[in-house]
Amino acid sequence: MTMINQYRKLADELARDVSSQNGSGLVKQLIQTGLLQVPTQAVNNLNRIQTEDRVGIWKINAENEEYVRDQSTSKDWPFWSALAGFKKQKTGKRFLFLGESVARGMFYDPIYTPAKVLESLLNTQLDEDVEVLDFAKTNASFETLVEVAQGAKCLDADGVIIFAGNNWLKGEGYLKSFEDALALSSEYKEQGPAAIKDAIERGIAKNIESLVDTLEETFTSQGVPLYWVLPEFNLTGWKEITQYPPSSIASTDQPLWHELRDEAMQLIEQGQFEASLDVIKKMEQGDGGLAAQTQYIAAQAYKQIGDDKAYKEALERARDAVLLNTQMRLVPRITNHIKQTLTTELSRVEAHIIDLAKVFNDSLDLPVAGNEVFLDYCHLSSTGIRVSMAALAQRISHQVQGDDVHIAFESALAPCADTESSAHLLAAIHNAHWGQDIDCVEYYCKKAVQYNASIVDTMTMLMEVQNVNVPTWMNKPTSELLEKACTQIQRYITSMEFKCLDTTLCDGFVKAAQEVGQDISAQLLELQIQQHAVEVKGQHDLLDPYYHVDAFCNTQMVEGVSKFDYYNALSPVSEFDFVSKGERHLSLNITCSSKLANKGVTAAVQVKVNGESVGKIEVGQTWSTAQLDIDAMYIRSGVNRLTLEWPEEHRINTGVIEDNCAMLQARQLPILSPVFGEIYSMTLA
Amino acid sequence: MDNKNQFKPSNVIVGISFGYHDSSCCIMKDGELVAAVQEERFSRVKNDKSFPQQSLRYCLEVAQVTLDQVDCIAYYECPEKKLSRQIWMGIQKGASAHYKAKVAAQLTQPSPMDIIRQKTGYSGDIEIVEHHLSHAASTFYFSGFDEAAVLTVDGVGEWSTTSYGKGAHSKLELFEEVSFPDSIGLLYSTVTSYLGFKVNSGEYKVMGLAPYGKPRYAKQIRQLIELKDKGQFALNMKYFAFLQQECMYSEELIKLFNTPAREPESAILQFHKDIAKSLQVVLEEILLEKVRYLHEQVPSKNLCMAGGVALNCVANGRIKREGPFENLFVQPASGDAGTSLGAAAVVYQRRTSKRPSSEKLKSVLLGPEYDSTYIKNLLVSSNATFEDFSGNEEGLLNYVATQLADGKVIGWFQGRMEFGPRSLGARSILADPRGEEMRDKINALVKKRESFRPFAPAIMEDKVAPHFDLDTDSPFMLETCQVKSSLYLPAITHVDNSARVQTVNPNYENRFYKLLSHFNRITDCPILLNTSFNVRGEPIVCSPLDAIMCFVRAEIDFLVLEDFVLSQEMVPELWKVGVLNTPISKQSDEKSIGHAVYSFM
Ligand SMILES: [Fe+2]
Repeated sequence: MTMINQYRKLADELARDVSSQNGSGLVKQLIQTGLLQVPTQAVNNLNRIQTEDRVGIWKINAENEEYVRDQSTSKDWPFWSALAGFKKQKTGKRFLFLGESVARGMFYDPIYTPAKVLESLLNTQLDEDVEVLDFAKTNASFETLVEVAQGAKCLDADGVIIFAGNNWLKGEGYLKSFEDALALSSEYKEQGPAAIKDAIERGIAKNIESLVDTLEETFTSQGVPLYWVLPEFNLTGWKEITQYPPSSIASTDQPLWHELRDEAMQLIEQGQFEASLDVIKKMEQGDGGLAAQTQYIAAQAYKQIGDDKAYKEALERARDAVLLNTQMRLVPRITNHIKQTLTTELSRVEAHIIDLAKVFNDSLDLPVAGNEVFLDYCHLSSTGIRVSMAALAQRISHQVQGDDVHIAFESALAPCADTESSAHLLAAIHNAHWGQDIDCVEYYCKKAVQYNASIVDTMTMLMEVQNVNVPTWMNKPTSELLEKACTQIQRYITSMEFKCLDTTLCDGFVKAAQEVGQDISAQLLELQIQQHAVEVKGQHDLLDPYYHVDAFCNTQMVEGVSKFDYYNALSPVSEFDFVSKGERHLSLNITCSSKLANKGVTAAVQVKVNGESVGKIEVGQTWSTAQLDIDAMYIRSGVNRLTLEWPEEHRINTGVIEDNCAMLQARQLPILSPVFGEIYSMTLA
Repeated sequence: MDNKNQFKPSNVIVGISFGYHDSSCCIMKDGELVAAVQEERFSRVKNDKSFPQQSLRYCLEVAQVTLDQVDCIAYYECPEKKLSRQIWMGIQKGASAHYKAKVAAQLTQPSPMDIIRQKTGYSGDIEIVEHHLSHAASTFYFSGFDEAAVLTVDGVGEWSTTSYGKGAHSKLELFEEVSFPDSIGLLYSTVTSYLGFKVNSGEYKVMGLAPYGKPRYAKQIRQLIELKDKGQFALNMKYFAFLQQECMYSEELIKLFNTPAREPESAILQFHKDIAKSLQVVLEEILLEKVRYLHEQVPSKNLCMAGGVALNCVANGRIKREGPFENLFVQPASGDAGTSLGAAAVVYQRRTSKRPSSEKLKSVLLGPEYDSTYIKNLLVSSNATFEDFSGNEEGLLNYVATQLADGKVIGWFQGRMEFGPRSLGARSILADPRGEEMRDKINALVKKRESFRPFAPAIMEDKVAPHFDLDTDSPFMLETCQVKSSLYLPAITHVDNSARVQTVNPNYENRFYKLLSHFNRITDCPILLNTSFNVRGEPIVCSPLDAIMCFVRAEIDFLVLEDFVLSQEMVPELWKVGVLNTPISKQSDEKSIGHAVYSFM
């Protein structure tokens, strides 16, 4: 036999063995045990080399020692401050301002920013002229902070401010760097999802340590003081999209947990708060404290009892629980674990910590922060910006001049009414796109109108842009909008590629317009029917993200993003919107399944339109297709809501732990949220 | 409550290819090919290789079936055999550490079947059809020949690189194959790479370059490959490095030609043209010899060809003229995209013992179409200025033909999109072929490409004789022939006086035929320059929105979307800004981020 044939025979045999059921398991085990080495993907490495000649998007011009924006990075400019350039040499005192979108002053930026507020406060306070270089970047990651810090080393700063900590929860990234995937999967098998939470937190802690090392090396060891503004989260104003216990802990306990939840909510309704806490304890035994929903119910009880501390802690647990929600996009946030780790790490470099939770309590008497200081989950209102910058300026002044002045936040710069109005409109859009309810959206819309009644025109144009499902640049009203709207809104619109029917947002616009005596509801209805009515389109795809998505965090089946090309129901009730003329019956065509079902067993999915039951469809473990006729009497003219209530019988899943172990071993983020049903296609005609 | 399954049509077969290059999907209903499309057209990722999820959804929609009504998914190659070849490469002496690591990683990758099931939740049957059998079936079953000899030639699939087969009625069998690493496709790709073009996509550029050269290096090229008994041949591996390194050719090849490899995008010298010509000549020699061998084994009148090498239309022309077979059918989607068709056909035959189709493939218009109502809504919703010719086809055709005669370039978007690599009048850029400057204008503006490549002519089928030396129809542009027209046709005539002709049939490309006929009426020229509707690096346009973006980006004079005409002069400023900010082709890494995101979150 020739050499080539020998090798070929060997290769054939090996391929056959590997392709067999046992073989693939064996190879996986060999790799997991490290006996067979497979190179892992690049692990997080925070100490990337930074070229000396740039800070963020600014590059030094060697001739005149001036930094200017580098044209080659122009795509990134909207993420940074609008600063055109700065000199390498300082004239008076110089502070560097690093951070994330909160530090940018999102919704006010570029007209009004925290860095500008700080600069004006320090200029009033300090004897020398003060310059605050704004290097904060929207979306900044650990790596961004490290790069900017290293690039800014040569700028001879008198102090470095970092306002960050919200952008560090990225589960998958940490998973890739786990050296021992096998160990993690067995930990998970024993301890449940808590093991994954620990592992992700270990990854975060490692990054924080590495970041602080860089800051020490570049600044504190050189005598440049470090001021860290520790962000806070909008605990009372922000509501997570309903969270269920991770499927794997719940397994057979899922139905019980649902019963307990109903009981607890009932007790609260009846005013029996102490009794509800007992039931909540039982829920926690089932969900390990990792279900946001349990914590929200607990918070409700504590609030009624008047226990502020327990109320706040429950809300914090709800905020932190979503760390394990691997199926949705998370909004940025700082968790207790991050706060504690960062505080500990910063103490070794003697950094000044400005803890916003404490600042808000001290200055505004807010033990639990809410919409008074926030525009969404973490971005600050102008009051929030002024209070935090006043506290920061006070600390800097004390450090620089040793004085003990009190800086009242009322002395800080405030934005004009127009800017406030635009910021609140953007906040309304953002809250709507991240799943907040009509109360929240309406609140910000109305505020926007209160600041400036003519913002209703902008709202109307936005309504048109969002309701036409073509790229924004193709929309008729876009050019008009770009002409009339202020810079913040222009920037937002041109970078916004997310479109959906936006019913909550448009309803918010309608309500706000009413406040100033304008009725845009008929215009909205006409637009919706003309653009989206099932009768106009002929066939309507309910799974089109444009229609099934009411919140950005809920997007599914987005090509290239979603793991599955079908819709996963992440709550027991799935909701979809459609527009109809309401004149005739419609036919629903659906291909769905419930993988939690036992083989051969089917159960019924209840279908409702606008809350009224219109029929049932059978689901089993595999795809099946059904048609359902919806009588005209259930359908109204305008936006209708179709809901699917997945069968209660299908809430038990035993295979999920095994599946997740396999995913962990493959260094993939496991699926911890329960899935109540699946839909491959769903149309109305 | 109805259960749709009661009305289930029998035999719904989905053919799928993905994981290597140009993913595609097709659907066959009761043996009839209903739809076929490449994923890149939807995803806008050039040569997208990922699971063709949007193509699958499109195919189901056209066939009016749901996923649970699919009887079987046919997958185009055998993963185990492919893995065997990959392992074999990994255990070669001198295999790079990098390649070994890749093979090791491959061992734990999910199988294509796992990916199909995970991505779609599909729980029905999946059948595997070997790569070259898929190629063979994609040509024989769609050839209309009752019996034929079959030749498939590509780079490599599993182990095979060339196969010889025989089809009769519903039966198709392969009786001989040539195994990796001996491969005509890889020989061609290696020289392509040496000439500074991209492997897997630059091969057609080499073919286009060949007529400018002389076969001065044919002797050296012949040293790269040794012809053997029967259907066999062997590469002389000392000139090839692809078994050991991340490079196709070895130092020995550079020594052989005594010239370093051309840097991509650098100047093309006479030497490069001579190499291209030499390669083309040797390729034709080898193919002709092996075609003669095949004819000895299968003495039929008919030959069917597929596989990437069958896209070499110059060689096809010679095989037809000089080879022993009277008739030649080449699968229009001969590359790997076409394997989904073959896989589906084989599975249909396996499950029913019937031949999927006895007719010759008449048209490749198997992709999505967008009706006038949809397009009108899109245009009305945007701030476009456009002419509406609804209900006035005569007016539309006159208008467009007049603009063409006036030297204008037209983006032409009509009906269902073509399957396969060629634009054939459904998603085409059209121009007058008679002007010297037309070629340069389109090359510079639209294609932003090397100027040596000529464009292809489309001609009314019944007007071929005075213009081209072509004895049969050529609806898929798969052969070249000599130009004999009395008209001066510089934009479509190659330096060797050849052209790659598409003959347009009034029954299958009705509106395109009518346009040619109107153009002929005005100019006495029944020919138009026809090139694919895309810019360099972009997949061919699929939707009206894709077409609008390409029209704006390439500054094409007019865009015809079904019954509507847009003029470049009327394009709003904001569109230009929007298009400028949209990438020509999405990159795979961008794909993983997705396009429905805020740029600041
Ligand atoms: Fe192939």
